[in-house]
Amino acid sequence: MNGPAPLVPASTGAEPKRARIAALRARYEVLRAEGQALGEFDARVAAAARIPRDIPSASIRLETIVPAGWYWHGRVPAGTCLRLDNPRGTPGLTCLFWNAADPSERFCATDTVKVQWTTRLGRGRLLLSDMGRVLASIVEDICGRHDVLLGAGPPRGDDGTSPFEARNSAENLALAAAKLGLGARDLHAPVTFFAPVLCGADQRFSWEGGAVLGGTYLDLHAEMDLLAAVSNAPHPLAPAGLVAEDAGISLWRPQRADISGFCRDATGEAGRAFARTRAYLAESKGGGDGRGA
Amino acid sequence: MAEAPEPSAVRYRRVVPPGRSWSGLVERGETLRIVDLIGEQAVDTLLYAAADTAERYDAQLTVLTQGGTVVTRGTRLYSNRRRVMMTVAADTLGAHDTLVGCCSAEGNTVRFGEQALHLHSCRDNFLIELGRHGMSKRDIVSNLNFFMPVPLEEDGRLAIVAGVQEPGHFVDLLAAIDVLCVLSNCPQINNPCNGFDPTPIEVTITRAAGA
Repeated sequence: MNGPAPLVPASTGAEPKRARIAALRARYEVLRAEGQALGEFDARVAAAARIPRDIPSASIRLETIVPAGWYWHGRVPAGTCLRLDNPRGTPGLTCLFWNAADPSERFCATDTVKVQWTTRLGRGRLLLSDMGRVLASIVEDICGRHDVLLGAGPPRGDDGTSPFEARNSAENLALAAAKLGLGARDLHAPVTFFAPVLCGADQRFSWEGGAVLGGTYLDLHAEMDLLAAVSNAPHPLAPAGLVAEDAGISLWRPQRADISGFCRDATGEAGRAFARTRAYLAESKGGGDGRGA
Repeated sequence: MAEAPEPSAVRYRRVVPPGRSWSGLVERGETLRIVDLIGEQAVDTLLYAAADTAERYDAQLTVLTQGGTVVTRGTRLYSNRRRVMMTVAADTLGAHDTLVGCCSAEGNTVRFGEQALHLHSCRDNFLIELGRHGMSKRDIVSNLNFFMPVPLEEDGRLAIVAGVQEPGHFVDLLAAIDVLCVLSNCPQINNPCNGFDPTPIEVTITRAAGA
């Protein structure tokens, strides 16, 4: 054979090819219509039980403050919820997540928005990995204003700014990752919760000034053992007058089984991502169901 | 519309078959041209600083710095160390993406079902190409998708939509530093990014003016 073999299915004549393309196009449009039918998604999510602000103290495994400008790093075991608490309205908690068993699998901002057909993360949505699996489900979200497109912003430049007044998420995430045993190549596009970023019809970004951040919280349910990094420094689009405020982090064990079931059942994509995650975890425990994941 | 490069200035020219990958060093001052030969063909692109590949394209910093999502002539492509790696010096199409990343076998199964697991993907292309340069999956970051329109609606919804079925559209990327460019001529057949029928592209590298 001359040259590299084709890596896409060979066409077998014009008519079958046209028919194949038409079938694939029709299937895509069905998936897109279902994936973007927000009304249905909203209705399914609205039917699920809410998680109150107060968590029974017996359920809490860890409770800590992330001071303004600082960061937290730690392990979030599968089945545990990570509560991000924003009582005073800090403008952004920027987060990265990795599979604790194999950190080469990590949060994938691009698949998270592409697979779910939306950049608007919130209650009922998933944080997906680069391996087509669910890292965590957003099982509660009182804020509803988050950003997954713009990242941590630039690190501090060589402008002589004092580290006492210019802490930032780029360096915070690098520090948190380092203390988890990870390096520069493990740092990837993060998600920032409590960051009300809008994108207009002109495809330009702005900060939604009136958005309420204070008194809100969010719960992420870990679907596998995770390493997590959380930075509490202002989102790069936050107006200069908005400074970081102390935020809270808790790890808590839900009493209710299947707390993220409503996320799994909300969309076809979510169901498939959960199925792949379940198969992977079963294989990891040596009890695989024989499916390649 | 930019002019065709002076033939004597072209130091490299290669057609990349449908579904295949390519990588090459584009030195400071040189221009990489990517041509969509047939039309409606996505080209997934990653950039690394040749001097230290831990410095790499940063899609988020790029759209943050320019304040919007549109990648077109004048867009500066930033690294994770806040350096301009390349500038989009010419763009005949004006419909490119840097929000939704590359296709993967794993992601395809979530999007399209288990039957998509054993189809070739851009991420597999990236892994093959990065392996040649001593890199691994950890080096794959959010990439550029040339010739792939992904409009972002005000309510946050987005989707890959049909591209432009015209031959010969191209982008020119002018290197500000020595850049290792890694391309996947996207094999995807489950969405419109390649018109469900991947086609060849051409890459050329043009020497710096006066070189």
